[in-house]
Amino acid sequence: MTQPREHDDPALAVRDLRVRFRTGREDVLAVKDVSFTVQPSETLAIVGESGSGKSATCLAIPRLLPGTAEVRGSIRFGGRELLELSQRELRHVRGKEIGLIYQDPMAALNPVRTIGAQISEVVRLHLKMSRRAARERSAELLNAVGVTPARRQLRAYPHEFSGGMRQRVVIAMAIACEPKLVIADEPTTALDVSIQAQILLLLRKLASEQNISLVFVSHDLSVVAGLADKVAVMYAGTLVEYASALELYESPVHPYTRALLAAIPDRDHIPITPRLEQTTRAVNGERSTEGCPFRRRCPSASGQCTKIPELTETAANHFVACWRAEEGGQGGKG
Amino acid sequence: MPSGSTDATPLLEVRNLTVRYRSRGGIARRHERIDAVNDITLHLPKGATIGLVGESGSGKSTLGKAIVRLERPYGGAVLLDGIDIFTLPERNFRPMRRRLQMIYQDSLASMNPRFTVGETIAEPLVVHRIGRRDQRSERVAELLAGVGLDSSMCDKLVVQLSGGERQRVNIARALASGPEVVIADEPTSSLDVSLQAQVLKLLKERQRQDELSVLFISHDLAVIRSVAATVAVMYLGKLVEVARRDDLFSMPLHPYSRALLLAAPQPDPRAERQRDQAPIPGEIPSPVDPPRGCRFHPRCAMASDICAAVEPQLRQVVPGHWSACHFAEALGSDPATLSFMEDPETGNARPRR
Repeated sequence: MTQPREHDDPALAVRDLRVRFRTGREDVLAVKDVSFTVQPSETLAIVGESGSGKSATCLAIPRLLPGTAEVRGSIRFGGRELLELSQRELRHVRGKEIGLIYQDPMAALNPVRTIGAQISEVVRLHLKMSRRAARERSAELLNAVGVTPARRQLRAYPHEFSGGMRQRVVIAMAIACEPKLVIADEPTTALDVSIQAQILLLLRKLASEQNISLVFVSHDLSVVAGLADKVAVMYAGTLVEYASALELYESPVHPYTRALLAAIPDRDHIPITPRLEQTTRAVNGERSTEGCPFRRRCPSASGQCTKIPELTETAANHFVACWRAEEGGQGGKG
Repeated sequence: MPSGSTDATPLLEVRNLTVRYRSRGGIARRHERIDAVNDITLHLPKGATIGLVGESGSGKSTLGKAIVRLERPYGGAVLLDGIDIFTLPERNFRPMRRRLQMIYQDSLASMNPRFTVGETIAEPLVVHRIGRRDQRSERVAELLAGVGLDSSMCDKLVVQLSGGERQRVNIARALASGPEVVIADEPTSSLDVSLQAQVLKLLKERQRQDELSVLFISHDLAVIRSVAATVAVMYLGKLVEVARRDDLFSMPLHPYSRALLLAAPQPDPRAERQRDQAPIPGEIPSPVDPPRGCRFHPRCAMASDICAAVEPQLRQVVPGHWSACHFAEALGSDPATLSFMEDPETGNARPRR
């Protein structure tokens, strides 16, 4: 698999990642040979619809997938191979060097403890701070994420907060130990658009001020446009396009990326790419087909698509897994 | 009156509707009163689609539920063909339910988990005694086909379906009784972009073919823009703006609508990177104790003294365009508003800063 050529020392380097879920009845290859890197202070957006494997990919990194998951490949972070670490070693990495933000803030918040106690717990555990220092740090963090007045809010409980405020608290917890990497899985999907705008700006500001590498997973190409330096588009477990944000939005190459961009509704135009209409089940079925998983829904599919295309560089630092792209066929706005 | 069109008696009329919740209070708490929906008037003519936009706490879902009689009003009325649905006893209202259906946001919560797809869709036919038993399976198959599902789905339990499939079953069920008015509460919010497009197309087709009137409730402006001819914006229980779609999007006359439009991200990295502040600061205030004067004023960039003192009424600023803002006219003549949507250099849609 061609590796994207970038600077030598990425903050995160994922190579040939494979995730297989084995349950009694089913055996699903959720992520197939996915490789990408994230440079220090860079934001990578992983974009795909449900069934694309984007969540499995991002949860594989801190090894938070369930026991039924089999993970293969390489995940290098902080000079170490994460897939080789013991659970004990991993516990030190998670929370301290890798921060996590989920879609539902209540997945990370304990409803019966104050938010001050919860943030303090993180810093006391990983940074061995005293109770007083931890409280100071918690107040500092709440200020940084806009939950004010910080001292009063330390004593509040999650249920007293709105969704947006809770997510700010989760962000505070994620950055509490000054991690090098933060993984955010659809962090704004459940929020109102006005609050989403605030949170996206907050994430951008924090990532830049604190030199954090951010992996932002989303189904929405509009949401990541302002944050992403690089975008990886996933379909049925594979990476289909991988490029800088500007390149991707201005010159999308893969038919799926183009269809995703075209499907963003606006004005009278209810965009229908007829073959884009499918269910997750169909996508699962496509995982096991031979050849390009997008073949059946692709408007440009042809005979060669029965062989799976490799990710190849079609323009500087722009990688696409599509036979048509290699021919030099497609470019320009969809 | 804010309306979906300028002519005809509206099929559905919401008149000064208020839905109030009271909490009882106790030793340490006083009585609290929340007007989730506050004095709303809206007309929905036959064959029209009105988009109702609002964020959490706006009251839009409560309004939707009140229209189908799932909430009792504190004041006002909902008239279907001129008859106030709240004055009817249940047995007289029941035949009207067939004409006035709802697509629920949470499809699973609104379905009986023991039912199959076929039973779910047939239920309205059974309840309203539509057709003979043998005709029903045909009708169910027809409805399934209409939402792009195969009739082999009939025997599946609804809990076995994916979110997108379930939502389509939800829609098929809502259309089963052949309603004249459909209240769609965030019908596409849980769907992927590709499915969303398909569902919207379906609704539009049914609307065209059957002259269906739709009240489309959503927080997503882009979706509303693609389905609604008229758009109403709600904030904290009140209507703040009502206009024809193109008028609202090209020249919003209320700071909240304007900020909402600005807040939506665009698939345009250059434009998005230029953002340096969120268009609407802060959070929605508690509905228990709404701000005095204009409810939006604490978060409004344009607020002045009168806004904190006097609540603006929804009024017609230019024909067909209503706004509840003291400064609506100023917004209308502000070039920043007019050049809202297009970047003169690239021609791309982008918000002005």
